[in-house]
Amino acid sequence: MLMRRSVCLAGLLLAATSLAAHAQSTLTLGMVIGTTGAFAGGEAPLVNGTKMAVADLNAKGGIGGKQITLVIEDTGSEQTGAVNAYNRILAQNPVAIMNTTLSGFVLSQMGTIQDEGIATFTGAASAQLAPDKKGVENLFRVRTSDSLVPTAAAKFALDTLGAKRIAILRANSEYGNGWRSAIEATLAARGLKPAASESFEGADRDVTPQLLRIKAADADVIIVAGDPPNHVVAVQQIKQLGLTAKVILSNGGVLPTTVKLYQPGAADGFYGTVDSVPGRDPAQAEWAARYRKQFNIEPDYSAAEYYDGVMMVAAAISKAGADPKAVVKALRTVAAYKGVGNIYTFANKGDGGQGVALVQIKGGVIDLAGSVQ
Amino acid sequence: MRIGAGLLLLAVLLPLFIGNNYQLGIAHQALILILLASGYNLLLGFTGLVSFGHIALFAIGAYTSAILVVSYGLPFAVGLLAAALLTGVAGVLIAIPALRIKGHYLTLLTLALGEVIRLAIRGMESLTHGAAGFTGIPRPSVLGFTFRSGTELYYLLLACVVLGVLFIARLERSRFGRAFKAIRDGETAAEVCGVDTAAMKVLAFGLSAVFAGVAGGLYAHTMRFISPEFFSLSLTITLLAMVLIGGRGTVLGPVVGAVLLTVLPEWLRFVKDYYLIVFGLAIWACTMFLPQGLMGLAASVVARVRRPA
Repeated sequence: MLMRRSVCLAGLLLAATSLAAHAQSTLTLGMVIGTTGAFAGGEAPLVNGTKMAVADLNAKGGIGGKQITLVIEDTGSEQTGAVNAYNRILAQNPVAIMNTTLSGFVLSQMGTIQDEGIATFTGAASAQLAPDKKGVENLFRVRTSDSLVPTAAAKFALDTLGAKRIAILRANSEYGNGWRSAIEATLAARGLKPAASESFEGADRDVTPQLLRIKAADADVIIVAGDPPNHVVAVQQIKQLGLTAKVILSNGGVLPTTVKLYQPGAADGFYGTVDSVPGRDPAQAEWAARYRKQFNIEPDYSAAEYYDGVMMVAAAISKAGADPKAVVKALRTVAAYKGVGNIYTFANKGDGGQGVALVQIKGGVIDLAGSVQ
Repeated sequence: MRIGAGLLLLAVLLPLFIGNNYQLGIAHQALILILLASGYNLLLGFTGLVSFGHIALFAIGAYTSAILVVSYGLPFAVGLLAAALLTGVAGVLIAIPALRIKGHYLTLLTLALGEVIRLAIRGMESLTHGAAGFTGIPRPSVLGFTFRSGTELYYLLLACVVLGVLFIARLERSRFGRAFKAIRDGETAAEVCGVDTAAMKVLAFGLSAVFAGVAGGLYAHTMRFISPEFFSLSLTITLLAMVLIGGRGTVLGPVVGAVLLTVLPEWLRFVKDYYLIVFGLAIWACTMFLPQGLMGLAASVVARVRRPA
């Protein structure tokens, strides 16, 4: 009996020791993302990009000899879910967190992000998240801020498409309101006003009244700003109503996962804003080919930017060690880092990416239409 | 009584067994929702009035406290008190038109009022920051002591919940509680017995709103960020489910319902992406097989045990 107990105890001790050893030989990278709910489709490329980066790093021996373990927690595409998911990840002592791309969700986590001090990357574009606004020291944007993208869209409409009457159709959210303000400011600088400015709720599945008012306003370009599900509704109904105005979709509207949801031909000729087009960049051909092979979908800027985020974390840990404060400090020295999806600066309160490009949907795929400085 | 004391003892000792901020965060949410659901139970469970606008009152409470504390620099206690008063007044104002209608029409009216209030919050950008949300809300602070850590905040919320539940337990046994239940069981009969049904309905709406206001104020200072997105119709449905599954018309029903519906989705995460299906099935099973809620089940079990053989 005593012998049996001793063997059991030794087994337990061995298991505990090997678990502790495993924990010491690995680094945990957290990811807070919507894997269920309305935003799961739009956030799927971020998971792909992160997984690819972790696999690449582990294939090269990890960071400082330690393999990286990716732990993903689901936000459920809800605000409270995003706060809970962030807290769940924190309980697993991550070295850094790849966070959701929903601006409102990130704002709701902001108190905890600041309190805990773990380096947190987000693809959220809201201008409010800038370090000199509501952003915090340990929040890093792997995306181009909305202080730049809507302005680029409006300038493209005016200068390249020759627009005279621009209409805005935007989500009644932090994201959509940011687009409206930036477009109105760009037009005002040229002595213009929007031909129409319409909004919809995030859960709306019918924007026909708004589109009919835009049609009545005789707009020649419509700029649509919202999340991927909103774009699917807007594109379908623009086609159904036979609107002839040119259309520029915000970033979520030209993600490969969103483009796949459009009815065949419905979005042909529509433009969209992106931070970059890694699938069309000869310098990123090898990365893009591996992405296509691994995930069987066209690579997009958001996947590339989360890939870059993980690589920047790895570089920071290699340079300064895995202590959270040291990682944040090292990341805050990053300047003009050329990644796959963008060029990033975090030094001197840098707000992440700077690139903006315009693409056009042709036959269900996106092609570069122009870039705006 | 014994169940209540047992639950309180469990709640007091809980932080000793909670290992991290995630679990404390869930406990904070559960406590705030207990307060909200207990107030909602005054309307739905005690008085039989189905309101779908309750979350709007919760939002008014949250925004009132946030605006007064952040924008006007007033102390937390003043913000919370103002949240309770303002939502109480809003509840009474909602009750006035609600006196003239009942049943489905009352539900539709409160649903519409709730949406109007939510849209108004979104539209008043200079005051509420609109869709961008309200950030920078500080942790509660009373007499110079700030409830900064998760455990300190837990005990503040627990104290508010205990006061709220004790108030409802006392109210249930008072003539007001009996009047509420008389209206629920038969409004005409209650009137015949001398109950001033109009005044009692207004009182039920007002008290219920005060609970929503306090819960809203505490929510704002716990989460430190609020936006109109959170105060959606889906939260109203969850609130309804908390009261119905816990056991409407009982003091502890909403307590059990709020804890269950806050904790269950988190417990079910081990089934990964299928948790919403399992969660839905669990709710369906509760409604089908426990029409009186969990407290109804507990009462029938106790009655069966006590019945002489």
